Amino acid sequence: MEEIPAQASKGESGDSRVASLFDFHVSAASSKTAEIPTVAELIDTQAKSACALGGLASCSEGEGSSTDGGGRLRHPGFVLFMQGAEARLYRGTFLGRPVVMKERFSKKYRHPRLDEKLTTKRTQGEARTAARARKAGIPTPCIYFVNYQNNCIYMEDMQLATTSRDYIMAVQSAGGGDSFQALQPIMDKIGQILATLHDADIIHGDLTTSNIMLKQDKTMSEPEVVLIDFGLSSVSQLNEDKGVDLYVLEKAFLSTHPNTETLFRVILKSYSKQSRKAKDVIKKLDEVRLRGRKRTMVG
Amino acid sequence: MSAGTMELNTTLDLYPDTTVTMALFSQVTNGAEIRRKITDGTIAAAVINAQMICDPFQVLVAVNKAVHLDKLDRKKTKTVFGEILFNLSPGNNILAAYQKFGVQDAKSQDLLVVLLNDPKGQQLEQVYSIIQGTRIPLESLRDIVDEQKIIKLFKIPDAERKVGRLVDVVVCRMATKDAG
Repeated sequence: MEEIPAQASKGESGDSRVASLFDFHVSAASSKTAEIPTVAELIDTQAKSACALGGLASCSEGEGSSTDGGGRLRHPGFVLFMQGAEARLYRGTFLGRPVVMKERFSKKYRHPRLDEKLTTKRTQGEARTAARARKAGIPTPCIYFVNYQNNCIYMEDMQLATTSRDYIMAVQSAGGGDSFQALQPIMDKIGQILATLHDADIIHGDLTTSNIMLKQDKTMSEPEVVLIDFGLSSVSQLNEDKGVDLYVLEKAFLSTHPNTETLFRVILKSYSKQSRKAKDVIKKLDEVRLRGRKRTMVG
Repeated sequence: MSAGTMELNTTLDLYPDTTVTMALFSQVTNGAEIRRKITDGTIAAAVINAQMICDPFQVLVAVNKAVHLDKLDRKKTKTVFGEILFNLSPGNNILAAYQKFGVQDAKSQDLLVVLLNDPKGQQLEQVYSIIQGTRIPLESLRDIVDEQKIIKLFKIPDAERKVGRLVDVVVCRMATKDAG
């Protein structure tokens, strides 16, 4: 029986997808003849491994975490596949479409009234910012329904997608010297999307390679960058906030993917090219690198 | 290859006790009468201006939210059918929603009818007898829809248009309307 790994993720949102399938694709990639997979190939490999885990569907019946106290399923027809610090992720069908449902659960250690308000506020904020990001042209999963009673967001399940985290790891383990060539165009696209995001004054708040997804279906000649998890996002024109957003990504990037300084530089270069206000943001990024985050130097 | 779906019958995943029936009528001539019968309660259905619908999914999302709020007794409008029309609209003005998405003041119009909990089709039969128009397959929505009208009403910028299909853009707007 497959265990749902408890994700100890950075930040509170913890909505990284597919990380539990990582083990499967690494072995698949290295069993190939050291060939660098394309994004579409990795998505395909992961999809096949997911089928192998098909037994997961039957496991949700009676599993403690997805039932309420009475043992009834809290979300009949939905299968739990990820648990983060703040929310649980389920897969299911909604009005004929495959969906991912994000359920923010209450934290028992909080005062109940405060907890209720906080959780709803987070859910609302996530929905609002995701919509705002879409208006600015940022690809992000389409939201179908928000239930403010139980703080559940039902959104598009991007079935033909992988995280940039998984892809970078797959390419690095397969490619050796050629990995830079293979990853550079992806980094370029990521830089462009982040520039568009920041130009719309949206701060993601939890940029990691698990929250930057790559989508590629048969109709697409190149993979598309999709951002997910706007749970910690906010709106700000301040260059400082944008700089910190990039700093968070840099830290997450370099700690998850060793020896990728040059790759990250590609992101920054592409960001600078695309964004009008990039120069000042990068300046702030440099400042933050020197002194660390949350140091307003006041008081 | 079937002639097309004349009637969509489905249940809501989150409310499996609720069945939804949808039917499309073209060149309806008695709009005023239909509106009267909705107001006086003879017709218990959501009668929608088909020009504003690009896909049945758009309507199902509105129905789901309406039923959800109805069960919590938190509707903004008086009836679940009015709520469906309200949910279809991008704004918070109920009257404007009815005007844009409900029965129009036109000699001939295309209308999408949505019924709830009518598994035996009795209500649909009744609606048939009242509406003076031709029943056509739901696939014809594709030809009836006025995308420019939708884009204009929802004020959809080009950038957002590129993110996905029109139905997805509209549904996302509908779903996040009350998030602020």
